[in-house]
Amino acid sequence: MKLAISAFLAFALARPLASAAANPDSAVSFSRDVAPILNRQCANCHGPKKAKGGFRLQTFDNLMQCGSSKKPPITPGSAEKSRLYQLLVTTDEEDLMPKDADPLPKAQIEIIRRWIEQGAKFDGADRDTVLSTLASSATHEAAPKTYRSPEPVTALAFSPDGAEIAVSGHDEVTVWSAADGRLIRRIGGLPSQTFALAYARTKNLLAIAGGVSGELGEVRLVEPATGRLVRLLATLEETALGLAFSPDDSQIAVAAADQSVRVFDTASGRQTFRLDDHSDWVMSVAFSPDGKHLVTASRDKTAKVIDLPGGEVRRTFRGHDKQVYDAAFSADNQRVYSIGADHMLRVWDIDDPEKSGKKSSPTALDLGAEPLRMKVTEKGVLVCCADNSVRLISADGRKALRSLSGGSDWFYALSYDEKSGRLAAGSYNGEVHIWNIGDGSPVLSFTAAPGFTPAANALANEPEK
Amino acid sequence: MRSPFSIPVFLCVILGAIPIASRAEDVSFRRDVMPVLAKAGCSAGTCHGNLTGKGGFKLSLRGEAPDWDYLVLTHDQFARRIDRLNPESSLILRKATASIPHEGGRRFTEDSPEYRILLSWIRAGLPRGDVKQPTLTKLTISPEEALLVEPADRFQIKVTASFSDGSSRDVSQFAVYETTDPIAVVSHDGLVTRKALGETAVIARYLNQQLPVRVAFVAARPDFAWSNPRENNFIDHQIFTKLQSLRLNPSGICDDTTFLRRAYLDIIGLLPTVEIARRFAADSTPDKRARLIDALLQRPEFAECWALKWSDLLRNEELAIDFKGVQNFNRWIRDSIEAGKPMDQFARELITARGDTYTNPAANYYRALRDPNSRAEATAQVFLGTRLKCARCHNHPFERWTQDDYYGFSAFFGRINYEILENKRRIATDQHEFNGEQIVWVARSGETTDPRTDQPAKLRFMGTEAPALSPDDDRLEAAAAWVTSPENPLFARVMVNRVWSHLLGRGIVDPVDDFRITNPPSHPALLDQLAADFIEHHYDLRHAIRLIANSRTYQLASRPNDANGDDARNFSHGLIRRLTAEETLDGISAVTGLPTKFNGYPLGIRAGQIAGVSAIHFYIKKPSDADRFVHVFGKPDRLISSESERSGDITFAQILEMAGGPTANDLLKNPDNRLGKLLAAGKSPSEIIDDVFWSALARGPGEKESVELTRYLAEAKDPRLALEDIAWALMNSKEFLLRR
Repeated sequence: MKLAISAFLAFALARPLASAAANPDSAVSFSRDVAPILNRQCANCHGPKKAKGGFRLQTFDNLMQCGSSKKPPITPGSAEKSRLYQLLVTTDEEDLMPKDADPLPKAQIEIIRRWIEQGAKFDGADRDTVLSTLASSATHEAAPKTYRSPEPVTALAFSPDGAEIAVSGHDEVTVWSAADGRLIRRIGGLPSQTFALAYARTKNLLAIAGGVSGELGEVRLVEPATGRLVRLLATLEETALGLAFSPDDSQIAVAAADQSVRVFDTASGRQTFRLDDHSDWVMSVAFSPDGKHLVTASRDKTAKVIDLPGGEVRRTFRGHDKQVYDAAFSADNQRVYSIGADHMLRVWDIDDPEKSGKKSSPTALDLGAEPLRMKVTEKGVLVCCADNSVRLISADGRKALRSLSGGSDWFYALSYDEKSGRLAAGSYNGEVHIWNIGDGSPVLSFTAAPGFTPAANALANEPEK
Repeated sequence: MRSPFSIPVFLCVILGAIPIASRAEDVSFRRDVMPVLAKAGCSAGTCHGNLTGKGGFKLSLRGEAPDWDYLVLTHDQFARRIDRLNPESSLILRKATASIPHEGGRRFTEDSPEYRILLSWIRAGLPRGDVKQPTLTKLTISPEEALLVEPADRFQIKVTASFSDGSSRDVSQFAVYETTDPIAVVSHDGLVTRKALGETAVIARYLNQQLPVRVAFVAARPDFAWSNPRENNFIDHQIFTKLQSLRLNPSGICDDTTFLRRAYLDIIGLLPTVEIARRFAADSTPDKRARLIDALLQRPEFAECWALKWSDLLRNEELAIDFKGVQNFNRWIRDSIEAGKPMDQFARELITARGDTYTNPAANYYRALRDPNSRAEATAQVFLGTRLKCARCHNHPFERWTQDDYYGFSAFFGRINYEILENKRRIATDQHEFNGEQIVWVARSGETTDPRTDQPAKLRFMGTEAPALSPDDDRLEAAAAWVTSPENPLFARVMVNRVWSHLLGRGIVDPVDDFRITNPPSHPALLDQLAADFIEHHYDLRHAIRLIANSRTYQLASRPNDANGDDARNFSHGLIRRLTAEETLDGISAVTGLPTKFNGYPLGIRAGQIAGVSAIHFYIKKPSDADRFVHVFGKPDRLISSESERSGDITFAQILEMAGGPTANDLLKNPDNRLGKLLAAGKSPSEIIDDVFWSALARGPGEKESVELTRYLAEAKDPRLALEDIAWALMNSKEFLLRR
């Protein structure tokens, strides 16, 4: 019993729900109260990957359909007659759900019971929405007022005028002055992790991609100056990892850990196409400068060139023998740079030389460390690496031109401001470094963690060796 | 009498839950978090310790690389796995407690010590535990052995870790436990509970060290009274001491017929002849068994029999070595054994061998081992009973061997080169075939590459520091000296254990080439004593055989008594085995009195004398009946350096072969065979029956057998056919086909 209570407490604390459990008279909401329970407790065996007993409850529609037993899982109005409820409370250990795990806490069973008794109503917008995303339309936790420790910078972006830098925070995005590293504003209401940030060049929009690992992905459009939510562009089953505006800002491409690549119309928010050709997380997505292609990078060890607007896969590049972290087009739209966990920067043609009959000159540069993100600039290709370095590679991908010093931990994120010729990189230790790309001189560095003071945390944050 | 289980057994000791990290700042990744990842199974080979990880999350196998694992948890995949500002929301905790879907299910709950440690580590800011922090120096376990007599059915294991700062702590809660046999189960905290009577080993693992506990659950047997059998030598003392503690009496001593057949097969690989068997039965002197052993050890077939065994191990086969080389290599082995060459010298001559493989046959050792890794693996397996191969790709999961050991030992064998004077390859597609003269030569310089670093591999003997070698030192000499040194704890044990296993049917360490901490010997003190005796007697093979064969243990009957029938590892009774391929065919040949024909060899060469595998490859010429027969009965192809390649299985094909196959049938039907000669000599039916019995079973017929078979033969219309039936029946009997 002690176990059940503590499990429930942890659960209740982690999510702003359970209000229904506390108040026995209130109405139980399926989206808010029931969906999270089912998603957490049942999805492992009855989810997207497995459907034990012929039963799946990925969506509300699934939930209402019989499994192999041919007995309706839910009989609205009567918990006692509902197969799902019976299996939660049965004394037969063989039948009791969840199998090979502790029974559900009494309070959770009670929520389910009352929801069924109240008519088992669906209160969401679409019965086909997966339960995990249904649950997420609940508000996110507030960002910490001050940061006890710096948060790894996994995404950052210069504003179009180069004056500000948006940086991933915890449950928020923080915006800093590119001139002096001063905190300008905090954009909250976000899921805990942010993996990609992009400003529209011509529109007043900041796109934010992230989520909660293992639970949820989100892509939001906000107004940069105020942080006002313009549109919740997508909720996904897994984190959104990559993001790009088309050159004319009319489209937004999203890469996600649910293995999908999606393109949305910026103005309407409508999804224009979805590609599921990757067999593992899609780490990044980028448009070609002419807007005619996309390139994706995936943990499935491939990168793909996709034709727009049709969404046909033009080429699958299998040169990396490990995860591909990032990929981008050359200025002439003809070649693609990609970086992977095999430590290589590879340059390849957008057409398969075997099919196109063109001569190919594949190039591979061993970086000697894991390259994590890249940016193609007029000066060359910028790559940030797990050896605490940021490098500038020649445009032909053959030569390292410069290594930018000052970092002391893995660099996860890059942004380049063409006008000022400045480059910003974000690091695991929460630091943002800004360099002048022309001569490699450092311009500014600061720790992007509101309220964080290193001295007070010296004990808690052992320096990395 | 002192029991081998002298360490007190801890029964039902319930350990208090001792929190490893009482204060958050005390948590160290290396010392505290790594054991949790192992204990929860995260770093197991079936989960994230897998070579390719699981679900994109890859830890080092069983935590062999803490630095890697630290970065994987904290930095990898854009730091998504840990939430420092909201530690309870960290992905690793939500996954491990299955509060979100986790393929591996729930590994622990929110109120478990595992959860507490991970959470305090995250709260403390992910301290890495730097090099100054104490490291694990030694693991101790108690009890080391546990013998529980019914009704006792459980005991608590206590694992204590000692650290480099001199501190030690009870880590029973955080060790990982495994059993090698399902007769016992071990709880999360190390409580071992009986499931069935018998013996097993429980392995406890903590950080990078592991130790076994040998466990015996013994039946109460209230009527047990020790039979107090006479001890012939120290072997019996050790074996009987343990048997007594297990409340098992050994079987009685085997009868003369069984002993004679056993000693003949084990020592020279042949059945005794009619004359010898009769003479031995009639001999009434008390030391006749010892004299027989001595006599057998001086027979030329002794060297042939053991050369066959070593030819298996040293991969003496015609594809890599060619026909001429195979003959020369086998002769060299046979001559070495015949001459009584000490086995350490034998090993050294092989390891340091070089030169023309025709004229320096020992150099054939390297003819099939074409690269440094396979030379190191074979040398470790054959002479040190150690399977190193796993360490090629990862630190050995069950042992202390690391990749440093692997590539360091391989480096000793890196300067071997081959000058191929000719290669008249007959099978165009087989790149492994070498048919012609070769010279094995050793370069004065050159290094192997450690594939992990692309740098020259650093010389290292397995498990020890690098030896100090000058550039002029011969690396093979250095390796050979280290392998065969009396200080090497493995060499003498492995060699004498091979002899033991050959004679007793099971190694004290079994399999004989899988020595490791987690595969402990059944009788450690006996193995120690045998090894010391072997060293003291200059690694003399004949001495070791003589010692073991003269023990009462060797001479125990195979028929179990009321209690010891289930015992498979304490040598309480003789172990029965099927005759080997060569023993079976040579036995049939001896019973029928006719030779068999192998391709490429003159008529009259016995199966046990064949140097290689098959003189003429089956691509080129159809195998003879005899060639096929030995193949069916499990003669190995000699493609790996292990005795396990020789099959002792009983197959349906063998039964068919014996019952109606051409090999045995042709010999039985041949008019010139023993049966024909007996009939032609005008012997009486009872004399004939008598002779056939002695030739096949080393004994005369029993009274009933004699009366009935004599009548059957006397009354038969076609005595020849009747006699063939009788001989056929004898050769298909278990008594003939099994060594008992």
